[in-house]
Amino acid sequence: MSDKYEPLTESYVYILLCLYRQPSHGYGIMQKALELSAGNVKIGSGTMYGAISNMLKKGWVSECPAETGGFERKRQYELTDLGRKTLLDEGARLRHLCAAIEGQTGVAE
Amino acid sequence: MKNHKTTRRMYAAWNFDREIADLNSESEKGWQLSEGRSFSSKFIRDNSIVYRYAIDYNTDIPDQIRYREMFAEQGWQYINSTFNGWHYFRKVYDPALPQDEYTIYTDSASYKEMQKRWIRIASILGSIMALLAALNLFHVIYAPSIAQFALLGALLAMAVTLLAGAQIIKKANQNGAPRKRSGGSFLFILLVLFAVSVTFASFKQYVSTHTQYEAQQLGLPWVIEVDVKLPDFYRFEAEVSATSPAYVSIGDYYGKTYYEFSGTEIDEDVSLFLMPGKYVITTHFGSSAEDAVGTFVYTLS
Repeated sequence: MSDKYEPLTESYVYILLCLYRQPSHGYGIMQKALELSAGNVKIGSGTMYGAISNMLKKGWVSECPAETGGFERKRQYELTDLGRKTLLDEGARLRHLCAAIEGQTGVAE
Repeated sequence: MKNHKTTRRMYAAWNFDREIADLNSESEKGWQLSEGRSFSSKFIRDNSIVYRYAIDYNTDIPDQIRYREMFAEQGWQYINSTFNGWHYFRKVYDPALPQDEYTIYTDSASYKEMQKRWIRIASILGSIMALLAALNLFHVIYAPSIAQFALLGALLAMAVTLLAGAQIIKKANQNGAPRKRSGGSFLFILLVLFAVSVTFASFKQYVSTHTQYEAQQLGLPWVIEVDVKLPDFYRFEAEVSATSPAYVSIGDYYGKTYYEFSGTEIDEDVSLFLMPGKYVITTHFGSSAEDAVGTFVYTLS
C-alpha cells in the first residue's frame, strides 16, 4: 500500500460526497452528482465502474445489502470510516489551497 | 433481402474510437451489431431503431454482475465480450439527449486508466513476443528453415506492433491529440504472415532420407538418390567410420556439389539450402582402398 498522496478527481469527490449521508446504488450516485454539481458532472458507466472498483479495493466504500422489498435488487454502496476520512481530508486540502490562492492573489470568490 | 451480415473489419486497439464511429453509422443504416469480435463484426438488420455504441476494455472484472449492472442502470445494453477483454454495449439513440449520455468515460483520468490497462497488457505480450523471437533466432541460426524465418518475422512484427501500439497510446495520452492512425490492415497482414508460417512449419517436418549402410568396400562409388520436394534449408548429417579415407559429397544431377568432406572418421552436420529436385549422396574411396570397410549413416532432414 502506497501512502503517497494523490488528489482525488472530481468524479471521486462527488461519488464520496453522494454517499456521505446515505448508501446508494450506481444510478443514484450518478443522479445526485449531477444535481450537486448543477449539471456539470456526469459520471459515465465506465468511469463509475472503475471508481467504485478502486474504492472497494481501497476500503473507502463497501457493498451493503440492497434494500429488501424493493422490486429491484440493485447493489448499494456505503461509505466506510476510511472513505469519510478521505473525503474530509480532501475538503481540508482544498480549503487550504483556496486560502493559499486568496492569500497570494487577494481575490476571493 | 438479407437480414444478417458479417464484416471482416479489424481495428487496432489504439483505434477503437473509429470502430465505435463505424458501428454508429452502421446502426443508422439499419445494421445493428449482434456480436463484436476482434477480427469481424456480426450485424442484424433492424431499421426501426438507432443505437449508439460503447466499447470498454477491462480484463479485471471479478464481479460480472456489478460490471453489467453499472452499465445497465445508465441504459447501456450489454452485447458481448471478446476473449481478450473488450466489451460491447449499446444504448438507444435519442437525438434530444446530450452527447455525454453516450460516453462511458466521462473524465480524462478514468479514460487514461482504461488505456493504461491496455498498455500494460500490450507491453507484457509484446515483451513475450520479443522473447520468443529471441529464442527463435537461435533456431534460425542453428537449424534454419523458411518456416523458422517466417515465424521469426511474424514474432518480431507482433512484438513491434504491440510495443509500438502501447507507445502510440501513451503518446496520444500526453498530447491529447486525436488518434487518426489505422492499424487494421497492418494487423491483418501480420496475422496472414503468422498463419502462413505456421502452415509452412507443418510442411517442413518432411525428412527426405535416412540411410544406414554397413559395408565392405567396393570399386565403384556408392550412390544414394534423394528426392527433395520443398525448397528449404535442410540439415545434412554424415557419420562415417572407415578403415581408409572415404570421400563423401552431396550434389545434384547437373554436377553441382553442395558439400563434400573426407576422412576415416567423419562426423559432419551442415545446413544446406536445397531447391526441389533430385540429389545424390556419393561415397567412394581412393584408388588404393581395395579392401576398405566402414559404417555410414547419412540423414537429410
